[in-house]
Amino acid sequence: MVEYLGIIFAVGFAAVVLAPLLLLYRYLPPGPLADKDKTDYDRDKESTYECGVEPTGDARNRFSVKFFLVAMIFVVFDIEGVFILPWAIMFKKLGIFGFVEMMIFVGVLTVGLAYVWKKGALEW
Amino acid sequence: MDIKFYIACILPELLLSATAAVILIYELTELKSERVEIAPLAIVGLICVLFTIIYQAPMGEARAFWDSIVIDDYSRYFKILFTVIGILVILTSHAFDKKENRFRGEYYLMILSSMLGMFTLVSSTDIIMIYLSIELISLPSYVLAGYDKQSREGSEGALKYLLYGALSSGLMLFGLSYIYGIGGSTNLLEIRANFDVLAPSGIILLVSFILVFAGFGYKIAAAPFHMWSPDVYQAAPTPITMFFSAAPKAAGFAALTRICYLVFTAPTSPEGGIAAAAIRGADWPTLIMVVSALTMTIGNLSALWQNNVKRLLAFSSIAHAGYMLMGLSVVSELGVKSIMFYLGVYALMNIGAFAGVAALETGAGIKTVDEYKGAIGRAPWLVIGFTICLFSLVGLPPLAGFIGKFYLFAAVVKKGVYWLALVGVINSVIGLYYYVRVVRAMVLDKGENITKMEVPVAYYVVMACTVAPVMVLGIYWSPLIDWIDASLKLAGM
Repeated sequence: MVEYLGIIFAVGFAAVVLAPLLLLYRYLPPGPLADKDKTDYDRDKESTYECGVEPTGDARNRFSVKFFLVAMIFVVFDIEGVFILPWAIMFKKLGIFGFVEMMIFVGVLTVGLAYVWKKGALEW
Repeated sequence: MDIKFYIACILPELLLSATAAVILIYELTELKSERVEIAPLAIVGLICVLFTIIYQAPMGEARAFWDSIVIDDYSRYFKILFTVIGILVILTSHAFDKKENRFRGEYYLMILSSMLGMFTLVSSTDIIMIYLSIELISLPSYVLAGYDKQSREGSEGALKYLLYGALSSGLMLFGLSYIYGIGGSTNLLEIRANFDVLAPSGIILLVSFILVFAGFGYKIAAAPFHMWSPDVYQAAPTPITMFFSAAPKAAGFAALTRICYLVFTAPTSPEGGIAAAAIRGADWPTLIMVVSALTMTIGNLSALWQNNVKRLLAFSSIAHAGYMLMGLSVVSELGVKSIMFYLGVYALMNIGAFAGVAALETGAGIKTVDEYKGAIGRAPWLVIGFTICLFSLVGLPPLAGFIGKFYLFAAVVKKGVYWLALVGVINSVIGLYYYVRVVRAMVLDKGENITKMEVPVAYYVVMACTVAPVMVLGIYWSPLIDWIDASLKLAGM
């Protein structure tokens, strides 16, 4: 039990220090009901910072789904790369068995790449 | 490292992957065509897989890939069940899609991928393999649930399924990590041997059991992890609902039973086996008994209020998972036997019921119990088959559902847990009301629309393939139970 004393201290410190901070943050500043008492100075304090320039418009934009597709495909082929790298290091030791096994792995993923290609997910 | 031996071990899985690859490539060559006929290809592939599994039978028990996969009779039974479910689901999908041509290659690919995950799940005895297989089952299921991109309901159901699934996978992984921590290995067989030496404390076993059960309970739709089930069943295309209600449930139960017996029971006699399994440390059977009672009650009581037939059958699936959990909570051979038997007949009768729902939906677009009124005049043989499946779901003799429930109750009563048997019986009686409500609407009530429905032949084939066994097994069930008796060998027990 005494091994966990450090963890208990860390969790306890976080709870004891951060919880009051969060509570203060929530209850001290003027809440939404104080809107009518807000001066322009207060409203400026809460607006976004744009390097001194007046912020224009909303930061929310629609973006094309092709970014999401590319990111998803990247993750899959990156993991493939992660598997190929250690194999490449131990290539000689793994012999012909390791070679054929990795070729089967890459082959399966190539079928996936062919699918992605033909379906047009790589069209930019 | 005998390659021929390993290939012989995973031949069904290899063939299933090959079928999936062929379907993928065929879909790529048919991108421009209006309708792509993949169903016959998939069915031929699945029949080959079935032959492979039967051909593998003389191998007995085999362990492959550093004991992470085990090929035994127990897994063979479930693999054959999954293949049969897959063939029936693909037949239904083919008929369901005749007019709209929405189900392209990816649909069948997803079904086969999910089935591949189920194949590996029932064979796996390694923690990482179990988690991988569950994810392989779940991820295509999320896609399949939301396959109809035009339907908002479908997308909502798929998102709910995904979020629930992600959460419960995380919980299950946490529990499995605890088991790894105490057991010292990711291999369940080694963990079992280590537990005999280490004698872990009850609390850690109970906590890890609860977490692991959270993951599996979500898959089998047991309370309190069941709320995704009605929404997903209603929102998914009906053949997919048919698939969800039968296959992942069976896979989840198979894996849950294997984990419970391998990790959470201790052998009491040298030759082992399920009969000589005693509870290790934590009193998890009582927990499962409570969950089972809760599941049955919630499932049956909620189904009373449903009008949408798919939602009603979803709640009935939840209730049936509750009945099957009764078989898991009694740590005995009869318990496992009853689960395996009930899963077999439950898959058949559920597929029959959903085939009826799918046929009525494509034939006349009717989805609620009120719209079902007078359906017997419009498609008589279909409604008769549907009625038989519904009566079997109630558990009325002389249909297979009664025999299944009889085995479950026998297992519970033999153990002496009379309160659970009582809850089960009361729930069966409550269940009678909502099943018969559907039957009454179809058979006895007069509907406004009396035009004859056009029902494709494939639905009749699926109906016949499920209703015939349901009727025969109700009277002559010894072939199935003998097969299960022979398959009752869990590797490592």
